[in-house]
Amino acid sequence: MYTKTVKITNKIGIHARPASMIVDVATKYNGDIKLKKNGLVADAKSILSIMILAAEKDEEVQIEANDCDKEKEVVDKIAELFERKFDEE
Amino acid sequence: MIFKGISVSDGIAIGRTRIIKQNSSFEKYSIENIDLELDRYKNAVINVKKELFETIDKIEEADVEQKIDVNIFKAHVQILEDPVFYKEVYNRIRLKKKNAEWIVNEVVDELVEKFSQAESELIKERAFDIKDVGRRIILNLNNGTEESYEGLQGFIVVAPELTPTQLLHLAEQGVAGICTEKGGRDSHVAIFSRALEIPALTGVKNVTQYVSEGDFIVINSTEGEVFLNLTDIEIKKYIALMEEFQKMNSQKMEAVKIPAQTTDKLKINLSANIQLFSEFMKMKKYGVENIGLYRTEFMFMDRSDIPSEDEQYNHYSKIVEKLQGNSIVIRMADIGGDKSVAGVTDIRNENNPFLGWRGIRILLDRRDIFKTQLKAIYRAGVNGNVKVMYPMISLPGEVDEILNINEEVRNELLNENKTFNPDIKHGILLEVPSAVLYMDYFVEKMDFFSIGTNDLLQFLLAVDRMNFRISDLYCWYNKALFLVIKHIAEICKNNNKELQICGEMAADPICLPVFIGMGITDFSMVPSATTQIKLLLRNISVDDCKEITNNVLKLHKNLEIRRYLTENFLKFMGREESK
Repeated sequence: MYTKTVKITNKIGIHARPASMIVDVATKYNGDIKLKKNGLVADAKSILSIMILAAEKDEEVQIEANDCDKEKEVVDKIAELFERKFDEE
Repeated sequence: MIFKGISVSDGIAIGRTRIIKQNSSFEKYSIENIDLELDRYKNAVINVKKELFETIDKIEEADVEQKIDVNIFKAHVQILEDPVFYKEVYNRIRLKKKNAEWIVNEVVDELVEKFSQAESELIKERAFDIKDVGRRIILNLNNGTEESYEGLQGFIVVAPELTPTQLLHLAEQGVAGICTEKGGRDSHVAIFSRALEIPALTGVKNVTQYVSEGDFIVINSTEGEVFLNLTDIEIKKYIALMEEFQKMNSQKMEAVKIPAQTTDKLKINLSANIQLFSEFMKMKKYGVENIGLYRTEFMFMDRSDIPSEDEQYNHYSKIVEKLQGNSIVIRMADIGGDKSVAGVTDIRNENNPFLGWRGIRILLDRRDIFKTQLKAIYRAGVNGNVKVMYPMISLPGEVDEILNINEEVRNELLNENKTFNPDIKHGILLEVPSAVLYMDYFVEKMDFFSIGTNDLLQFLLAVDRMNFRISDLYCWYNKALFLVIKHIAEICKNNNKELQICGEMAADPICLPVFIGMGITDFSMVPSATTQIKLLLRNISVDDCKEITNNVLKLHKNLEIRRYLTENFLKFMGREESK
């Protein structure tokens, strides 16, 4: 298992477009990739599941990969999307 | 009758209304054959997916990519294929034996309900994307096609809410204005209407209850107002206002295309000050090709660690590639001053942060940060015309140290077998007065110079530009500042060094002739400021500018200088009017 916690810094949070970018990355890897926020868990390969997290600016999200060949790589790549503010600002 | 709303895209629209309500009527019935119903659903999904891909292709081919965010529709494809969604639909069709339309509607409603519990308006808006996909599926199951939006040109669309698909159709039809009950500044309606420059208001409560199909209404988005039942006289007033607005806009847009040159054909280079990748779109909109100041400290803020070499490399590369060979001046992280960075500096700990540990002073103390950023820039330099600029230089020794570190970095990159461009150009941001007096030393070591007028003025006059009590002292119509800039321009000219001005002053059109009169031809500013600068340029000659420079340096007081420059600016722009 590999995890990393990131903070949401883009202004409007994880809406459809950022969620879509996360799915794009996650679906390229095998295994179980999750986003967690305040006890809620989302499947990083499901756009709806991510959108339902309703993660907003300044909230923290934990990215977690399990049973995956490249756990660190996928978690880092998803974390980077957050850091890049999903290319929004 | 007046309605108030949130202005999301400026402008005035006058016309008849077309009311668009979300029409999702469908039959509800029980089914016998589950497999048949599942097949109906799967077929509908295939068709919707095809439609979405057609939409995506159309947006991409039309090269309106920067206008409409194609990613919204890519996200819709993912929603359509999302296991959370289709598994739920499959299960319920099997269990409840209801027709697919009914089930899709149920599942969509429940998902939307989850969003509407969110506290943030912004998150609530995200429900539109799911509704939009659901609507498409239901329409398709009904063998229905999208409601016809033909013949809407010139109409003002009034609706409770609009989905991205509807907005796309409306945009193609050329509607005059948009007015919706729901939505805020970051809603799809807002983003689309701004991108397409259609006057639009959102958050106009209950407007569909009062306005009927075909009513004559006026939207004055600048004021956030919608008018119903205006008198002829009032309508005439708004027609005049609208024409004025359109004229201004077309002038602005016309200026995007005109070359930046004086009447006697001296070419002036206008480049952009930007700090975020997304601002690249604004550059394109205003026809600006080069980036004269790319601020990087924002990459370091709002996070707990320092961005890695690869992360920075990816970031710079992306923008360098977008520039397609046009130049970019990357300023090394100018942290400190008014910009705190976690783990490096906390400005609250300093009495005088602007005179404190900031810019190059931090970078030279924290070589790890300096080298990581330099390496990323060297590597990104392979893909385009990259220059690097150092902030807050005040002493010659700093430049020696910078050059030594650069050599170390190049050697390390060689040893690490990384591809990089060893020939990127190096320059100094002139913002500390002492640096100006060391120019004779710097011209031997550096390739170019840029004047940061904001800090230069603050340090030259000993005026804290954040202190409101003395804000009247922070005024760049200042003889001392002009003399310093003239001195810099002369040294650069004599030594054949590139020079640009990149502070806010560069965007002030009344100062422009003074700089051109000094022989400065490169300016970097916010992209939107370039239009007025270009309009001014096509009405002045180099001789006009030289005369202004001579005269302005004879004046001493800020007020006199300001008055003199303003009068001349108005005189020059008068030439534009009389064309």
